[in-house]
Amino acid sequence: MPKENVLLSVQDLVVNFHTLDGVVHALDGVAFDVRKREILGLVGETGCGKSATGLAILRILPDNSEIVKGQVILEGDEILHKAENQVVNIRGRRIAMIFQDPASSLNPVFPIGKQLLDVLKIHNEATDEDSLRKLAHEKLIMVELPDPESIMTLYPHELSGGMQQRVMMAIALSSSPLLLIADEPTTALDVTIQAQLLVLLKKLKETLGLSVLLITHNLGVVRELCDRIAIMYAGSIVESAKTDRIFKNPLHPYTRGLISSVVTGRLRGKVLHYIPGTVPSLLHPPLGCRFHPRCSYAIEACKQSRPELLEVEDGHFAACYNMPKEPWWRT
Amino acid sequence: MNEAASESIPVQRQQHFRELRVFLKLVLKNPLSLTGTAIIVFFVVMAVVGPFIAPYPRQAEGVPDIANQLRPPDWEHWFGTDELGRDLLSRIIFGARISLMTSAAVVSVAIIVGMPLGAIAGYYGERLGAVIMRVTDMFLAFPPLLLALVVAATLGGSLLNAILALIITWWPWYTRLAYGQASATRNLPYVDSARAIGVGDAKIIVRHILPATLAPILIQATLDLGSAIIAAAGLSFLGLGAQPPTPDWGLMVNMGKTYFLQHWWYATFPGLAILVLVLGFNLLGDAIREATDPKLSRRRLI
Amino acid sequence: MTETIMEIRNLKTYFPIRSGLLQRTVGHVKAVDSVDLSIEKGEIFGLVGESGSGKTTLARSILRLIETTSGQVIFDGTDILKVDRKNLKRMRKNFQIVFQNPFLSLNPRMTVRNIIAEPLRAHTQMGESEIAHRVSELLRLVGLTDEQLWRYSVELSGGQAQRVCVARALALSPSFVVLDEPTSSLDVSVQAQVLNLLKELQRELGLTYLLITHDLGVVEYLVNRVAVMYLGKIVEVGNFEEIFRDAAHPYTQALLSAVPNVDGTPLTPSRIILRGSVPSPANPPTGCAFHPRCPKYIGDICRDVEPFPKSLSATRRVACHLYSAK
Repeated sequence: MPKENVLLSVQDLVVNFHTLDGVVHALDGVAFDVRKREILGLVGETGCGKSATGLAILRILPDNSEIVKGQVILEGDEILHKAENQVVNIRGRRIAMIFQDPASSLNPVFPIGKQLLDVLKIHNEATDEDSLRKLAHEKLIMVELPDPESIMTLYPHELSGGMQQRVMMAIALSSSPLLLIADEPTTALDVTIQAQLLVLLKKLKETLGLSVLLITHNLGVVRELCDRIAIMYAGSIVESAKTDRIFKNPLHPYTRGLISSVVTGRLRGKVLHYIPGTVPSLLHPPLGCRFHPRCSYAIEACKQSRPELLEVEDGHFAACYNMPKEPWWRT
Repeated sequence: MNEAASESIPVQRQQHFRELRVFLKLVLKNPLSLTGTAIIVFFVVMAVVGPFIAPYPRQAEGVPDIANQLRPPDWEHWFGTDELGRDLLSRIIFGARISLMTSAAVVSVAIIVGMPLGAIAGYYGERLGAVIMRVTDMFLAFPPLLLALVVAATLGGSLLNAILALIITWWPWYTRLAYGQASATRNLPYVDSARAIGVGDAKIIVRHILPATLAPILIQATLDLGSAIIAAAGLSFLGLGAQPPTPDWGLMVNMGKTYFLQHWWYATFPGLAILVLVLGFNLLGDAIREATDPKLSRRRLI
Repeated sequence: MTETIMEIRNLKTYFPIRSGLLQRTVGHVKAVDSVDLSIEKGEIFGLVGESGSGKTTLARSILRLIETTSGQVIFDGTDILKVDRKNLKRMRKNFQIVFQNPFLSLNPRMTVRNIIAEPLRAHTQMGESEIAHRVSELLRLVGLTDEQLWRYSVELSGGQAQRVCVARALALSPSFVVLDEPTSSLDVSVQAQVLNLLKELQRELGLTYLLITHDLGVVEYLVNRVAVMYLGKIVEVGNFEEIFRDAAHPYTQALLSAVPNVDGTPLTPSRIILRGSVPSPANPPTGCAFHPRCPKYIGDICRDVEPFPKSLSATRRVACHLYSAK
């Protein structure tokens, strides 16, 4: 895979959280790449560390975190170990982020217009009111909000969830970033509104040449939207490949278990698959492969050391010593 | 079946111990809160054991010794004597018991009255809640000490009346605290679940609402214990609380002020006692508040 | 011919909107607006809708957890809404509810044992040992063990906590259980476990479920019949095949097509993207509430006249002018 194609490269990221209960080994060697003009889905269940990964990239982890090691390379530039005053130039400029609950990301006491203009002032050379207003209107139209003029005068609580999220996208994209990190952007929204936003995201990727790191637990959304997927479990990536490959031929037992347990009408009348056991506590994670206690394919090696993420087939990576050989049933 | 039950109990105890350990860790590792706790413990011990170790117990109870009136602090009377020759140190020691019991009485009765009222108002809401809260607001509208003064003056000066007056002043604060918590709690699914099961209102309030209101009330109570001591001392200072010869600290400051310029020790030592004890409650109260705030405690680096 | 276990007739739940210093009522939020439904004994009935549809309010209304405005909810011959408090308490044994977030549905200060024992203590005169026995029995029924007896909800996983909620709901052997988004706050792999359990229990105990959810995959997997709600009204009812293979109402069609599908095959052939967002239930559109967003808008009739539900078959009803037009 040519290196010029890679926009962001996360390598061997290890992050701990220091809590009252002890040290939580949240990220244990996370590694993946986001290419230019692609939507990469970072998929996992609660507690797997996907949100922490997004926060780590932008260096906005909470105070009790510790970046033990790792590298984050943005267009050849290492940013994980930069000083705070340099990271400021990346945050919100080259990499932007939107979160799950737009209502808490927007300031309830200021109208949308002011919030958007404030951000535009920071990221653009133009300083006069008129050109900034015009720019604001453009951004709002870009996220397909009707009637930008009146939207600017409204307060966040006067907008619906879907519209708030669009405003967040407009604010995030006001600096024309290279990468947008979206952490569960549609999870709190209705399914019909979600559909609208997914279509919009795809469009923006095309028109702006934007790359998106989409963090979610919704496999349906990633199948629709993402070009490639990275599956995360208990702090590390267990599998990554093109979307089609993941769904047509998942290699890692966790991926198989995860996709198998999604409930749809096609399974009507059948007993549902599930992954036995529960997600391990990251205070005292299992030794070796963190999935092995729940894995029906576990062998001795799995208990001793963590399998590396290796390229099994062209572009298809998996971290497993004993991948299932049975044909995949759910295509 | 019984074996299974007895095997599970250790799990329950483990959980309680863990919570306690975390709580103690937070509260005691802070030097300020340790100081506060030490102060309170010191005075409690003084209240309990004091009467047995006070050098002049009968003088503390009021027996005068005119020959030794208004002596400055010396080896026989560490804190000096008052205008009736009574040893100030002994009187202060006896006074600790009065102060602590007074504030404990005020705060606990105020909670017993205020908390259930607030819980009921918060749970039922609508008209009943509105009526209760309007009455509460009426009481809260008065400047607290003024209300206490009026009640105490009406009832006549005595320690008991002072306590009553303070209870009447204090209960609305707990009603308001409980009301806030109760209103929030009654919308939670676990309360709805209890109603769906068919549990009666009274049981719901006792089992589900009241426990939720307890935490903020206890935190407030720790700070209020200190405030109640000052308030009671204030009333005594004005002559509306404990009457002579009771060794009440506020009363001693009141008597001492007349002699202050030439006999500084008479008002100073009781005043210091009040100051230090209240400081102790404030330090501990602040530490508890910080320790129980979920947002603050999770982020601390160990 | 199966018997009807619950019949909802013309149910309305309106919330007054109060404004001004004197708190005058200036309008109403019509959360549930003239809903008619009948649920058969032993079936799994699905109720779907998005935010503002009124499905959660409907669930609470039929169980009389909130005040309704008018209408009837007839359970086993008696109108739940009119019954007096004492009889209501007795009736509650027969219908129970499981909520969405198990951690919010369990009192964090009560042990699992006391949580499950609460219904038994409220309704029966059982002695402590009898209660202990029944609680253990219920734990086994939902796939847990006595190990959980003395735990508090914070010590349980999401799946375990939800199972405790189910055990509590089944303590008095109800015949009707409302499931309000029972798996929405659980992880995907745990959802499957809980759904398996719910299905098994339904079969074993002959329960009737009213399943309320926005997750159409779960609906299609579980239910016998489905009703679709929009802004307080039922827009379509039918058995699952009718709805999922051949939805009649434009909103149902849009809803189904919006679901991103894991299996790669969309639920409907073409993607329908609705314009705009759900209007506020405090200020619903005139005529057919869906008309401002409807891709199959006919004309003035949609804007002016509210469509009356029309039966398309023995099991199907739609409220749409497309079907009542001559």
